Amino acid sequence: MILRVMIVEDEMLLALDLEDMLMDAGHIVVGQASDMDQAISLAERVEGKVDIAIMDVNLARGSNGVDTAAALRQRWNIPSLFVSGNLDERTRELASQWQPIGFVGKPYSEREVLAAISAVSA
Amino acid sequence: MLKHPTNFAAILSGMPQPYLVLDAALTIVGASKAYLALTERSLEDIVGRNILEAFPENPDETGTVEQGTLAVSLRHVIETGQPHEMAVIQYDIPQPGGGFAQRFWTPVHTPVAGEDGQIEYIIQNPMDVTESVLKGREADARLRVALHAADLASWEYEPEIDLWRRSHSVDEMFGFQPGEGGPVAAPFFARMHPDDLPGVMEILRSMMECPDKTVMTFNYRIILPSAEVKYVASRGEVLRTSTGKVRMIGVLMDVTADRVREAELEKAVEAQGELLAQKELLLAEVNHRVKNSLQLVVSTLRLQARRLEEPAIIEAFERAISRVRAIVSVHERLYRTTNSLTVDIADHLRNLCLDLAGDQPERRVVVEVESMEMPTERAIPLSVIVNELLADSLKEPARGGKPIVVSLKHLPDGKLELAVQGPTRSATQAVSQTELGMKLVNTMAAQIDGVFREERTAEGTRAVVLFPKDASA
Repeated sequence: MILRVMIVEDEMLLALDLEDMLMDAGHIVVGQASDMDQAISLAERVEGKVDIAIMDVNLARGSNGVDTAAALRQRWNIPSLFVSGNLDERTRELASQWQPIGFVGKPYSEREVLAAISAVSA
Repeated sequence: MLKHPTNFAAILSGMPQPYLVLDAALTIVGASKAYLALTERSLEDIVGRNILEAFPENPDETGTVEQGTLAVSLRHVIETGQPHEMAVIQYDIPQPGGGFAQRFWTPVHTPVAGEDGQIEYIIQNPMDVTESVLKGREADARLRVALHAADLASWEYEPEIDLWRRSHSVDEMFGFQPGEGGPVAAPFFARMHPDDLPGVMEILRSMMECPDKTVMTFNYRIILPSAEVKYVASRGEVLRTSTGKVRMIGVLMDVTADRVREAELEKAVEAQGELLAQKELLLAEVNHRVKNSLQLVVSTLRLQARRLEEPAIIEAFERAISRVRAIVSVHERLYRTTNSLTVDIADHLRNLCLDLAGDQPERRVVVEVESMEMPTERAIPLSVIVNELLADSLKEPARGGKPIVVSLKHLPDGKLELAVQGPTRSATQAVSQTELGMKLVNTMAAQIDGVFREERTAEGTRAVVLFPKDASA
C-alpha cells in the first residue's frame, strides 16, 4: 500500500535520506518540515491528506516533536512515527497519549523505519 | 466569748519553729523567736516593713533572682489561696555590723484566710538548709565544672507559677543582661521562635499531665533582639514535690554552631546533587548528539549508495555501509548502568541480524544469544565480526531452507563462544571482499583477546570466535 508521508526532521541530510528511502520503497513524500510551524503549514497545504508523519523529538527553533505530533493528531488525525535519538521514558510517556505508530531510535536502520511504516498499511 | 482572751502574740512568739507572718501587702506583722534567732534580727527591726525591703537582696549577688522567686511564690499564694513549697533558694541575711551572711532556705508559704475567705496573712516557715547545701557544695562545684566543660546551662522551672531559675548562661543565651530576665519564664518564652513555642508548650503540658513521664527534650530557636537566631537543645527531668507539684530541672545547650555546620553540609550536598543533575543532563545531550552524528554518517553514505550504478561499486558501498552500521548501531542500544555504558548484547545482535537479513523467510536467521551486558569496547568488535560472517553466509544460496544460526554462549571453561553456522563459502564471492572480511574478523577477534577459526561440518561451515568474557587488565 502506498502511503503519503510527511517528514518532520530539522537535520536536512537525515530528511533527505528518509525521503530517498521512502520513495525507493514506493511511498509518496508530501514534504519536509524543520519545526512545528512548518509542519502545520505543510499539513494545511496538503489539506491534512497525510497517512503518517515521521517525527523527530528535538526540532528547529526550540519546537518539540511531541507537541507537533499532538497538533497533527488533533487537527487532522495524522499519526506519527517517532524517529529520534532522544527517546527516554519521559518522552515516550508524553508522546504515547497521541497514539504514535511507534518509536525508532537513532541511528536507525532502513528496515526498522520501513517495518514500522508498513504496520500502518497493514 | 472566752473569759480570758488567748494571747496569740505570745503563742506565735513562743512557737518552737521559725515562723514569719505577713499580711496580704507582704508587710511583716510578727515572727516567732525561733525565726528571729535564725535570721539574727529583732522584732522591732522588721515588723511593719515589707519583707522584700526588710530582707534586701545581697548587693554582692546582683543578678541572682532569689528575691524575685520569693516574691513570685508569695503572690502565687495570695492569688490562689494555696500553700507553696519553694525549692532551695539563697537568701542572705544582713548582719547587724553590716555585710551579709550566706544562707540557703526552703521556705513554705501557707495562706491564712479571714472570715470573708480573703487571704489576710501568709505564714512563712523557712527551713534553714544552709548546712546541707554547703555540704553539697563540693558536689555542686563539680556539677558546675561539668556543666561549664560541656557548655551547658542549667535551669529549674515550676510551670504552675511560671517560676524560672537558671544559671547566668541561660540569660546570656536568651540575650538578657544580668537581672534583666526577671524571675518568671514569660519573657524567655517570648523570645522563642513562634514556630517552636507551641511544641515546647505541648511538651510542658504533657509532662504536667502524665505522672509517668520523667524525661523531656526540647529543641527550639531563640530570636534575639538583634534578630540573630540561636538554636538550643535542652534536656530536663521532672521532680514532683510531696504535694504532687511539678518542678522541672534541666540543662540547655547552644547548638547554633552545629546547626550552622549542618546547614552548610546540607547546602553542599544540595549543590552536589545539582552538579550531578547537570552532569546527567549534559551526558544525555552528548549521547543524543553522538547518535545524531552517527546517523548523519550512515545517511550520507546511503544517499550516495542509492545513486550508484556500477554493481561492483554498489556492492562495495553496501558492505562499507553495513560495517559502519554495525559499529554505530551499538550506540542505539547503549544504556547507562551505575558506572559504565553497556549494551544488552542479545537485544543488539538480534536487531543487527534482522537488519542484515531482512525478514525474508528463505533467508532465515536464528539468533541464540544468552542475555548479558557488555561494554561498548567489546560490543563493537563483536558487531563487526557478526556483520562480516553473516554477510558472507547470506551471499550463499540457502540449502534446503536450513536457517543460519548465530549464537553466543558461555562455555564450561568460562569463555564465550560466538558462532555463525551457515552454508560453506563458495568460490563465487569476490575474493577482495572476502579477504578484507576475514582480515576484519581476525583483527576484531584479536582485539577482544579471542581466537577465530572455521570448522567444516556436514551441514556447512561453522565460524567460531572464542574469547574471554572480560577484557584482560
